[in-house]
Amino acid sequence: MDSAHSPDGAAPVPVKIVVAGGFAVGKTTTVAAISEIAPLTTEAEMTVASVGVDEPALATGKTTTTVAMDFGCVTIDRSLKLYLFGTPGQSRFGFMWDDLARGALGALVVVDSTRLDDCFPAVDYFERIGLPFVVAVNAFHGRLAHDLGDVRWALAVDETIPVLAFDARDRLSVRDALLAVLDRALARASGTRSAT
Amino acid sequence: MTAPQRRIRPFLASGRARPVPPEEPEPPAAPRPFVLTSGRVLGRRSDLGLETQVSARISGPDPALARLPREQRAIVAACARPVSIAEISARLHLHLDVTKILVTDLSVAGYLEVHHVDRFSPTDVPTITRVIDGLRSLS
Repeated sequence: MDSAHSPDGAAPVPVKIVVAGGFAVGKTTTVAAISEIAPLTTEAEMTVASVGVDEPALATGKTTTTVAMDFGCVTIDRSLKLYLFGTPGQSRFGFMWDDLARGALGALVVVDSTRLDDCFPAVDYFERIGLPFVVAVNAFHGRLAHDLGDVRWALAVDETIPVLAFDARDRLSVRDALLAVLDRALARASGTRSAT
Repeated sequence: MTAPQRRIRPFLASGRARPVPPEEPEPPAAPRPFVLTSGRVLGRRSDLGLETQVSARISGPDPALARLPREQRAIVAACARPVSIAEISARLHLHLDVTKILVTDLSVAGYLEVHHVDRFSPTDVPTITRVIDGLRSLS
């Protein structure tokens, strides 16, 4: 196989944004709203500490579990493709995030305003590794349980971190939330270009 | 000569005493994930990302493909156009790490090309600007 030939030309440069948040906050809906393909699911098997898991069978402290990630993509142009990975926001899956966050442009942390604490691990993680992120409160049925100022106060995020409301079902609303992430990514890239 | 026969247990005497073939175990629905990799697992650090693009170096029916196990053949077939590791994993229902291991093998063996990009280029200003422009043009 020395005569390598790729029939369809060059592969696009892939870029990615992580869509994080707790269970059932609308991550997959967010991905589906803007993805050009129906969201796909990939599974990863991992050993996790079962601290805090309320099941007797897991009392040994470690267990192997399968984590599903939904993802989709948007073709930006012929040589650039944006991937969106929806990832479980639980801290016990934390080390999987290293793989996800490596090379990511930024993250959208999707929040259900009635269950704010679900997003704490994700916010902590992105703050710690310095990945640009935006908190996007999913307005279920157009309503927020708390106003954005209260959400910001509860999350105790930096003033520079945007906290916005969006509708995970709406393509343009998701687009605008992603643009907010990219705005943060651009700020970081222009400010600390040589900080690699 | 009836005495020995009476020592035969009723079930065996009933004529159904054929040697029982060893019971075929129910085939599992699918092989356990890491059977496909001969038990190998991925080191913590792999240079393959979820989004890393992979394409086949051979196309069409190729005799070399026939030597590959089914899963590997399916991976090569799925890569006729460049696709991401995540897509291969999802479409072929292979665990992510299993996919990475098999793709690495197939790349070393010359079946696949892994398109590595400079680790920092996806996060540079011109790239981000292009993504922004691309998203803005969505309607």
